[in-house]
Amino acid sequence: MVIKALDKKLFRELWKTKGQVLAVSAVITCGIAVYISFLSAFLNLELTRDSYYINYRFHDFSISVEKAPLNSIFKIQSIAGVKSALGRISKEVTISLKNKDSLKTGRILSLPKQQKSFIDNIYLDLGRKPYTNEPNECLVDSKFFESNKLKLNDFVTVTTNGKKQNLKIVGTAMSPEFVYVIRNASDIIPNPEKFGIVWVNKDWAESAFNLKGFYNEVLAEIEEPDKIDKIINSAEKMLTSYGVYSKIKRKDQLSNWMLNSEIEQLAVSSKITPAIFLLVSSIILVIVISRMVKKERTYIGLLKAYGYTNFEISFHYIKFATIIGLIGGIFGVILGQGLSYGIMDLYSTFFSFPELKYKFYSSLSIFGILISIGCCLISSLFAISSVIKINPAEAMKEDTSFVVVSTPFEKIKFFWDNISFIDKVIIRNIWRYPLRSLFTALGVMLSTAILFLGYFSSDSIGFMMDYQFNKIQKEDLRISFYIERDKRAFYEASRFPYVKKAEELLVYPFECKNKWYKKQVVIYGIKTNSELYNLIDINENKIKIAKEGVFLSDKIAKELYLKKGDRFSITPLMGKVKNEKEVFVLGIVQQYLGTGIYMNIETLSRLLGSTKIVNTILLKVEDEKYLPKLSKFLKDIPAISSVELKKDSLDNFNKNMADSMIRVNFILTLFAGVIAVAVIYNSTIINLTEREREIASLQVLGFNDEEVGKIVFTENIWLSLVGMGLGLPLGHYFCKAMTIAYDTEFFRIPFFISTETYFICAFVITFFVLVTNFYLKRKINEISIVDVLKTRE
Amino acid sequence: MLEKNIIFSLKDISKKYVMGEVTVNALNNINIDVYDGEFLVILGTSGSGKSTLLNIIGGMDTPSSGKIFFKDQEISSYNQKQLTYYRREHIGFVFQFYNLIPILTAKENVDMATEISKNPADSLEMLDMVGLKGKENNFPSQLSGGEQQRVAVARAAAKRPEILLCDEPTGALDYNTGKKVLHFLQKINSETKTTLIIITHNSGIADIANRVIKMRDGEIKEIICNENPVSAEDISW
Repeated sequence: MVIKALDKKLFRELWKTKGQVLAVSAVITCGIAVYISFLSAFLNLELTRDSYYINYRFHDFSISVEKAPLNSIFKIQSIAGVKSALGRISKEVTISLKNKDSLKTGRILSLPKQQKSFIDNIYLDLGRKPYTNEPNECLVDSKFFESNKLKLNDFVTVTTNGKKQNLKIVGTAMSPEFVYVIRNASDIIPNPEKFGIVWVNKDWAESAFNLKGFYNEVLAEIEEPDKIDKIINSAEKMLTSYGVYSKIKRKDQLSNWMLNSEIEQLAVSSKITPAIFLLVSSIILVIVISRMVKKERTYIGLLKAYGYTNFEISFHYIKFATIIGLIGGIFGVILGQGLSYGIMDLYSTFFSFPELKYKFYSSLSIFGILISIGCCLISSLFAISSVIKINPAEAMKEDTSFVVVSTPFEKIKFFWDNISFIDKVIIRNIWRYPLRSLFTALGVMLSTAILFLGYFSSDSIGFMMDYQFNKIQKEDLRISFYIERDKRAFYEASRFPYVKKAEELLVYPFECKNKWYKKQVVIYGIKTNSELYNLIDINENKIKIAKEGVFLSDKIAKELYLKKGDRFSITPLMGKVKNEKEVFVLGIVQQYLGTGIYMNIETLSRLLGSTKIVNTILLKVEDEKYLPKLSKFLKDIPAISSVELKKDSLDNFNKNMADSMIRVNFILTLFAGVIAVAVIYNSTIINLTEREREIASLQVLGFNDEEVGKIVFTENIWLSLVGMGLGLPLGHYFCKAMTIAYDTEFFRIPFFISTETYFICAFVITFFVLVTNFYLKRKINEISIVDVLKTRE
Repeated sequence: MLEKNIIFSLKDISKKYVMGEVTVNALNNINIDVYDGEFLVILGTSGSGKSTLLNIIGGMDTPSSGKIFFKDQEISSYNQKQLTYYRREHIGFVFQFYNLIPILTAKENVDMATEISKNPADSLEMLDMVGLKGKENNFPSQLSGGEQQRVAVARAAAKRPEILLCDEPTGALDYNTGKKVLHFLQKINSETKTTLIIITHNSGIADIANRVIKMRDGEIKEIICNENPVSAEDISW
């Protein structure tokens, strides 16, 4: 094949401008890599989830009740639209392991007898299922098994009804309802060492919890998803007399919610992030090619004079852009595929799937390359529109389009007369090419904003943790009881060894109703002068719980449309007394993790028909070093249903979250760097080629490289400063948008930006700007005075 | 001698440029017939309208009034696209500034023209013809000004155009180099019978042409027929 002369020009041009080509391609590569990796992770995660949910029959809704007879299941099954229903026993217990001091929490789930396939079926990972005639056998979830370094045939000790019982581990399992295994929403990230799932024989569960012939949770599959509300309401009605605690639809189920929000986030990010990169690369390309067309104006004129058509000439530049698109696209696809493995790998540490489906989407790769080429193609079309306007006869003459404009700064005589010649050149040049200058500033601005967003996530999540665990929760550990106890339990707890202070707490589920707005919430009964449960308002002032009235967390207030002074009704979801009571809102408290309603503990006890009762105790120890000893001591108290160490939550958070935060920030910094460097590099190269003669003339006059460099680089620094100045507020805006996007039931992202973030962002961007400038200095030295000045402009 | 076949004719051509409130009459009622295979020099000072005339003949500019015929085609009624194909198929250009594409070699610069021609000459032969054998792989920056202009001549001629238009082809060259370039242009004209039109302000060149048209202020002042044109080596200015 003979390569045409114009194509030879094309390839040599690509090679000559390889720095610029590389810079633009790098930006495209980032965009396409994010697109491919996020989207294929999204598709794979969705595929994995869907096949898991279908094959292992994830429930459509669940209702937990106090205690319902087994035959009531048939009634649920008979509801129109219900495909199948299963009653099981589900209880939270404490778990202790041999050779481990701390008490762990577990959820016991009963396995149906002799059923091969059932709702929320289990995937057997290791070992075998418990034999039905061996009551003391159990399965534990795989992550709990691994992180506690257990072996098959080891024993777990669970405490039920004040009795310790040993269960032999015969296998490990996973279930679609525990893809994301957390105890409750306030855990945010799984801590498999401290919380695990234990599947047991039905008979064992019935006798252990005194529920012979009963169940306390119903799981159901339905035929038509759109009728879920109707179905769930009929089921609830049927079960009312057995004490309905909660009804949860699949979409609100904790594990599923967490998984879906991750999947959704991937889907959104897979569109927004690449769009930013492709926009930046497109703008760079428009500038690069426009400049090229301008520089080659005479050659274009010549080609036209020779009879080359507009299309033939335009196509030359289109090819230039397309090749860049192809390079960026191909590298993007390769990098993206690699990254998607990394993402899936990261997910496998947080999510429990029997198998992560990993499908290679070739269509996605092709589409990624097409997008990349398409963007470049469109950019080149913008840039080459001027090709058509070039008149060959005119183009052969000197380019007269160069017009020196005087800047408004020149009118400020005092200023203009007192700045150096070099400063005048800089100001005029920025003014002469307003679009390019603007673009340089915008590039730096975007890059700053991206970086800012990354550090903001760390800031805000750190702030959220600090707020919850240092400002609100002042205790070191909290213990919960299986059943409500009177105040003697509290006195006993205050006499536990190493305890400096104990405080009582009553935590109880209620249904709240304000006109037609209803919501199931947890009400916390707190001591009036609580020191360990430190409620604070939006301005971080301490709130004192009064005898009457309640405080609402902001999320609940918003959902129930309540404000200070409003009245609404509450009904207990458990226990014997189920009277509706009216309460009034004393105020709103700011809370980022979870939600809650707060009131006086005695008032709450009275609402439940008792004098003061407690089910949770907050403890502060004399010194943190005693925590392990205290945990060991608590391990042997059968009445305790759970022990939560604040330190564990924080440690677990720091261990897992900090690590992924560092990874994310690293990648975002890299992205910000690619954009900043690409934009500055391209603008400077264009600037240098455009001003070759000017620079050469200065060199002839005796200016040294340092002084010449100053002209170009001071301009960059000014524009970068403007970009940074604009980037910080834009980043602010991005962050604000993020806090709005993450206003969820389980957590809200606080709008908090630390001073360090400003400094780090400014520092990192300055670093990128300086590195680029330093590298580009070489280019000035390369300008040959003789060559430049001998050629005709 | 010449067969007087008219290849190109201009009838009552005028060209006005409107620049704000001032109208410049670049060409005023020009009538010329150009004969097939002739060597024509258009002589005039700068501002005489000779470049405009060349642009109009080359299909790069259109007249404000009047008609232009190439053979039996009226090209003054052509649109831009037709003009492009007219240039592509029939016209070769040599400019004062050689306008070689710097990142293409001498041969590749010539190829650029041959690739869009229906019946091109061989690029290497053309370079050989202008005395650049052995330099076909040099880039423009590795060639002297005269050599670059010879590449430009080879490039223009390689299309085998019917009319070769040269705009001050020696303008950027020194005396001897300029003469050499003229020699090759003359050679192309005599060997290939390509109609050659050179526009110049340099009256010394006039002696090598078959005809000389003198222009001033957008009008033809004189047409001189030169029955015995001299060789480019024998002229001086």
